[in-house]
Amino acid sequence: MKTLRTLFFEFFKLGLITFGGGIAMLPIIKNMAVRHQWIKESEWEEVITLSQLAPGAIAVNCANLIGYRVKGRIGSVIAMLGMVIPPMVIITILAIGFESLLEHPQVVAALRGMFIVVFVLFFQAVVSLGKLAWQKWWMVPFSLISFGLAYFQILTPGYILLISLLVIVGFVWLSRRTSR
Amino acid sequence: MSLLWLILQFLWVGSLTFGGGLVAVSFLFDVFVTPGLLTEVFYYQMITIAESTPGPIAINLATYLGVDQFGLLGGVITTISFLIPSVMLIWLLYPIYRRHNNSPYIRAVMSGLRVMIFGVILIAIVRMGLTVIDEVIALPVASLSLMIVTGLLLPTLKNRPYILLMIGAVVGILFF
Repeated sequence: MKTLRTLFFEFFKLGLITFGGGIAMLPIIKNMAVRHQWIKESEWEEVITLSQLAPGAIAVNCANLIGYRVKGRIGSVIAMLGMVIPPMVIITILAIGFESLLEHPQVVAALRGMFIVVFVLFFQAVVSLGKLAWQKWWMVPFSLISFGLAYFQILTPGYILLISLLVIVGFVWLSRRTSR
Repeated sequence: MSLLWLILQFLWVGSLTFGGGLVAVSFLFDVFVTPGLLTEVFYYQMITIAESTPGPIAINLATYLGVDQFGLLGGVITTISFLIPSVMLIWLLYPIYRRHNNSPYIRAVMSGLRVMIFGVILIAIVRMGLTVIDEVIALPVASLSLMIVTGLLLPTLKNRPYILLMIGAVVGILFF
């Protein structure tokens, strides 16, 4: 019971204070999990790999996995609840008050200024993701294909990723069969 | 927009947003803005709010859309719908992954999917860029200086983006 409570409150704190989501949260989650001996330092690699392999928010997936390791499925649910309750409460309050706030021109102006900042933040994130994704030059056109298909609304992003996933798994399966 | 439709959308988005927040930004644009359910202006206001509050952006977007359309309970339902697929997948995959963590499938999916995901992420940034270009045309001096200042301060304020967002808000109120 005590472990579950600690799990909840540690992730609650993270959900309350961390801005910028996923990637920014990872080092903080790691320190916390290692400090409580929920995972060993050497097991962290496994946690982030699987968090990124699974769909959804990376930070929530991390909470899910660490909770699971500590106390099974109950641990998962408790850790995830801890992580998502603070943002859900904050956003709910904002969303309810937002509609009337949007009638004030100053609020709209502030949001326009903030949007430019958000764009720069995202742009920087995209650049670092690009370095990670494009490790070889021949990978570039594949990204452009998925960009083009979705941008010109030939396929929605969901189908592009689903089809890519199946093609990749099929390709590995085929190449392993033929090499055997 | 019915609640059932919203639940199904978030289940679908939740099971295929490999790659985190920015991918969700692209996905949800297609679900809500392309068919005309939300305006682009409103969608970007929402993203600005989601990025300016703590927590993962995908969760913030899910809660926001749910509350906006169906009130308090709507927010809880959409967020849970978004979470369910990844929770199930991880519970299912984790024991398998522990036994086969050197599997060539996992490595291929990791690097291969990342390349395709990056294309989807590029869409989010290109679309947002088009809106930013409109702002630059309308208010070149304020917009460009804000971008330059943000870019210059970013390396030092990487872990405190809310300071940058506050600068953005002040510049917005004063000049936009």
